[in-house]
Amino acid sequence: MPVTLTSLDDVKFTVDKDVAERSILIKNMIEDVGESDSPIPLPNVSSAVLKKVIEYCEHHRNDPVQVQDETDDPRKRSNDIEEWDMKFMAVDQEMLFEIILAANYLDIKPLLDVGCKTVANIIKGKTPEEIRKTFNIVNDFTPEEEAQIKKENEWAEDR
Amino acid sequence: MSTTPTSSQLPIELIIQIAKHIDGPTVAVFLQVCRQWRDFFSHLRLRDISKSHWHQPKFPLRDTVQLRETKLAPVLCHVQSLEWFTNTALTAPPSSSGIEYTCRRQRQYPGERQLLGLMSTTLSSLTFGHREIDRRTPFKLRFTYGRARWNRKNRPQAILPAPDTPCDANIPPNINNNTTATTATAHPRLNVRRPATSNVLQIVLPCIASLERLTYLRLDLHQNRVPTFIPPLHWLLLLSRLEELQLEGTAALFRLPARKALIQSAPRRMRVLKIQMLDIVFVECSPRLKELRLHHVSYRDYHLPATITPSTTPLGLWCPDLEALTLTGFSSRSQAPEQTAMISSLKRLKSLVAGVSDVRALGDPAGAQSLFCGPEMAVTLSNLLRTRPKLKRLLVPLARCDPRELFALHPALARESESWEPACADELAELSIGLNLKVLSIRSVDIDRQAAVEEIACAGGRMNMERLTMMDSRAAAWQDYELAQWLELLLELMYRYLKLLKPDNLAEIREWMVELGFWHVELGWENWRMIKY
Repeated sequence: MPVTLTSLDDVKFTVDKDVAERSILIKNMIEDVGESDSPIPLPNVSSAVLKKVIEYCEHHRNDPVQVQDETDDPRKRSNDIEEWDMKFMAVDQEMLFEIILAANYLDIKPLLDVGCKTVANIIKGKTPEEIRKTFNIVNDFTPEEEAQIKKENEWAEDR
Repeated sequence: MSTTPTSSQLPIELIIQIAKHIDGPTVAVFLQVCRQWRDFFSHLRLRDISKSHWHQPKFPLRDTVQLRETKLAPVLCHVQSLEWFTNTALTAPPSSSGIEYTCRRQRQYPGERQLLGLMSTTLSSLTFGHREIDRRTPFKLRFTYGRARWNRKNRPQAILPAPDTPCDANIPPNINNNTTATTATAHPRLNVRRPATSNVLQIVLPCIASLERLTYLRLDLHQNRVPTFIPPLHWLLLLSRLEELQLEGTAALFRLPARKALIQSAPRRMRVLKIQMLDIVFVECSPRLKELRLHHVSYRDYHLPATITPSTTPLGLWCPDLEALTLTGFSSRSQAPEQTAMISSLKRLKSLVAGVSDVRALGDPAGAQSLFCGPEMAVTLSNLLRTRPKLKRLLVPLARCDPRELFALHPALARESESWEPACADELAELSIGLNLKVLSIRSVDIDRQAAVEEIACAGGRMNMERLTMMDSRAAAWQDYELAQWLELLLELMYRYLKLLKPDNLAEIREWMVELGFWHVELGWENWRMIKY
């Protein structure tokens, strides 16, 4: 049965139920409301982003439900992104962040993980100043504090 | 924390998600970005300790010759991968009597014995030299009831082995599936109180450290007893392995050194935490926590205001997966900003019981979940409902609350009277009911009923609602126009409960009920008589 989703800018998307239910948020809403023709409003997601999210969900519609890792395995980090996902995430930074926000809102953990891994790959090797610029953060360290914390972490940076 | 970030700003909970995927050198760069990031990510600094680290002249663990247990435990608390490449022998823990971790191998590497006792709960890989320790090695945990005192209710008041009881305590610290006691519920309620000697408890705590669930633990921790009773680092070893814990105690205000250790060694596996009159600091580093119940006599005297403020760290940051939150206790107007920040940061919340004064303490006959709180919370809840689509259960204990009636009921509230105003704005009129809300309970003094009805009846609010409880203890009975609105709303509900109806109303409603075939309605009037149709 198809499900209709309405984006922030009032664009309607009709998708299969199993595709829509990759989002735990939508899955819960469908379960709560029952079978209904009413469109599901997603007021936090724009049509451009929702289109991308649907594309992801359609590609991964047959994936098994992800079991949450009990341990944060350090060996399973940012370098295990599938090729399709990597191409999917090849978007500008603004869209990338929007996708992450949408994945968080819609509760699509695999998409959130891929987004976070992509950002982690992007910021790898950047300087603190570059990271500040990426995330729009103001440096509130005093020069003395900055020097001190740099000194404390030299051993880790030199690896 | 902004809840509506721009595209170039991600909320900090997502930054933390990203940080899980970064490597050691990038963590070091993260720490240099800003103060907030330094505070958030400092625990990741020693997440992976590899052989190459030991060659770094400034590696902080290189100089372990002077490291004692108290210093090493916080450092290793967050380690996920550890290669121990040093020949430095650790000095013995300050109170080593009673704790004996026996290795199965004949030869021990320097420091191994102590490390087994201090190991991180997050550890997934451990190497001594070039030999891997088999984490799946089965072992026996003998849980000896050496001495049990029984109270009036005939349950164990203390379950402590006698000091001379041999403890089969060769416990790989992360193993919890092969023990003979994976959950305390298999035993009578575990109630560890102050032991006769500190050594006894030092034996007990490592033994129960492999438990996953401890449904009751009473700790009488006073500031002046901590050093002689249970060293915090010892019982943190217990807490850090538990997934469910109910804690109760008289007080646990730690001075700075102990509290610092608490923060760094906080329980990272905890999913359910029920705290009564203990320190909220346990919560701070429990990212997997799904259910939290807090009962405090006064938030003001604890760490909540200091640690959870809009400018520092809302609860959602530490517990991003929290689904159920219960807050009870007394509060004041000045604490509203902290509560607002705390609640509004919880994005996955499905159940919230936010009360400030527990009506049970006031002798209210309405039941255990009937709560009141100050009018400041209305704005918080209003924001919460707008932005938390997953919320399914909400107990609204407020709206318009006349504190004078509360003060008359409970003398403990009298001191709050000066800071509360009898009247407040029409918060309820702005209350936007979430789409998924199934249970709404509004119990209040002097509630604006009409505003409530109009709001609840609006689109979305009644879509999924199954249960509505509306209690109004003011003297004025329901007016006909109010009732007409309610009856229309009642069509959508499976469960109805109105109070203070006039007898005439009942006849009218009964007619409606019969006509419409309602199956479960409870109506009450002044004398609390319930009539069921």
